[in-house]
Amino acid sequence: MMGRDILFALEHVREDYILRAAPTGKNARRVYMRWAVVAACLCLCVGTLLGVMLHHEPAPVGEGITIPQSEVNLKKPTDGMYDMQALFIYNGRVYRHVQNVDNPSLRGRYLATVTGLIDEWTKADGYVELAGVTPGEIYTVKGYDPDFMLCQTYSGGVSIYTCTEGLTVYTGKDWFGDIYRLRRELDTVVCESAVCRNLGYRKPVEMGEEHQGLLRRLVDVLYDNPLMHTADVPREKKYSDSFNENRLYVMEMTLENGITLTMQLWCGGYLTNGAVAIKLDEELYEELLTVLGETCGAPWYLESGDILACTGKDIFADFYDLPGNIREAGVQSKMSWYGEYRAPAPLGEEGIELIYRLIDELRDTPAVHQNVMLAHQGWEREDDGMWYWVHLSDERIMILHEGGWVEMAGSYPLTFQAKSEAFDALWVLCERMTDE
Amino acid sequence: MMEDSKIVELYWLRSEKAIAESEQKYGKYCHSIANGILRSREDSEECVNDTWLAAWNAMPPHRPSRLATFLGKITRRIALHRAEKNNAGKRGGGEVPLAIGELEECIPAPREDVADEAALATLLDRFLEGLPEMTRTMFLQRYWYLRTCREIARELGVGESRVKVRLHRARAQLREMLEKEGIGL
Repeated sequence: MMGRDILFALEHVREDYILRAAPTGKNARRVYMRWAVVAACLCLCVGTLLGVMLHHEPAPVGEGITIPQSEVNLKKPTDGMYDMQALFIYNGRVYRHVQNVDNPSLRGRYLATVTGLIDEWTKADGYVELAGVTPGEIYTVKGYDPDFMLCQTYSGGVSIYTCTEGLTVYTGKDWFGDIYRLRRELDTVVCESAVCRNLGYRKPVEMGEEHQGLLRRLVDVLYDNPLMHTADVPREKKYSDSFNENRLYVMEMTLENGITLTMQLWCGGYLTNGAVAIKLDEELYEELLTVLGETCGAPWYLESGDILACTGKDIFADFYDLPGNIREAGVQSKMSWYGEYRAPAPLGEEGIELIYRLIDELRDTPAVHQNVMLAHQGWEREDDGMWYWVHLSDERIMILHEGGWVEMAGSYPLTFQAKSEAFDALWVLCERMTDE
Repeated sequence: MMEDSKIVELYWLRSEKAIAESEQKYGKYCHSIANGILRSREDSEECVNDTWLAAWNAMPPHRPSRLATFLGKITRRIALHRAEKNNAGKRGGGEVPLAIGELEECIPAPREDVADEAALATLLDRFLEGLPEMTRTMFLQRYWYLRTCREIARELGVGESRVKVRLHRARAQLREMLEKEGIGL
């Protein structure tokens, strides 16, 4: 059999399929999915109490995990109050807002109307049946168990709410397959480094045709492996106060109906989606790191503890688009912050030229954590030494630290050690222009 | 416009009005199919004219309930054969060789022996049934109507890369299905 045989055999498929697919020759308006940036985002709050279990019979693999309930229990009022995430209470269960989807056809049948009686001052006894943050009608979501997912509508789409409290799942298939039908309905995968996302430099990239094989294998692994609690994913705070330094990449998997699963890749090869996690095998983890690195840039942290994945090029060129477009540069010293304020003094062509050279010299220099600079200089805080703020066009600020250290404002904690004449000359120029 | 059953009746009555009515109702559709495959106005016109002749010779004995697809299939078949002939004579061939090449990916072990077209068609029906609607539309626009990915993207209001990715996945699924059924092995 050859491809030609398939081409001709297609003649005999169902006629209604053929007619429905007939091109009209018109250009449809392109619809851009709104990338909902919601803190929860199908992320499940790890709370404390019980809910109603979804009716399903997963194949028992291991012991499974039960997602804990939230603190609100209509039978057992607590003193606690919720953070103001949108939510409502229906059938005694708390449904939390996870995302908006610009697909009104997801709306199912009407269930009830929620009152907008919950706000940040509502006490626990105010969390009653059909109370909620956003008033309005609630509906089922077509294709999803109402015990798990409901929605409210807005013009052009639906707001999705989920309740996973008390749900017990065993393998990834129970979660990614039975609930989300990921394998069948996966449409697009968009990735970005976690640090970019944290810093607000959103540069999500869609994974193209060349990566579909890898994504298929990844979905297979998600289905076939036992689940663990995200809370059990090993993480350590080595450089900062947040476990987020262990977070490498974010992958948003959007289904054909517009619902998005936000997957996070952590150091050690753990892939999480809200409260559930899967451990990837070493080979797949390495391959995924390589592909994500090529697709959307360095993760900036490696589990070895050294920030080796990031060089000057990653930060100055790729992130801040330097040295291109430096139309002007001005300098302020530390004294203008702590003493009498002075506006930035222009560095002129000489300064811009030195900045170009400095960036070029740092191109292959690996970034280090700012703590390395502090240790090297014998400081307790970055403020202990002298520094200059070099203001570049388009609101980019390069910070020069005494001793030859360079960082870009907004990219803490990444710092570069410059052992170059360009830095020394620039430092002298800054001293001259600020007289400090 | 005249109902399909009445047009079919005209063919059975051997009235030449049948062709005029067919052309009025489905001429544009058939032209669109032919042009998608041949990418040549002249060749497409010839192809559509051949469609009316083929329809005239097919009815009777056929009495199709859906004239659109009946005529569309005739046009498609004629156009595909013409495209193969053009390609052999190196007079272009449009999307056909590309589409055939893409569909080769679906076959576990391509061989020259003739496939059972009926069995393959049944499997293709099952395959299409299992696809989400938009993917099915993309698949048929690409391999039935021989549209380019760019044209499909514009028609459906999505990005071209999305079309390519979905088609890639669909072909992989078809391959899996063919492998499971032992077709092409």
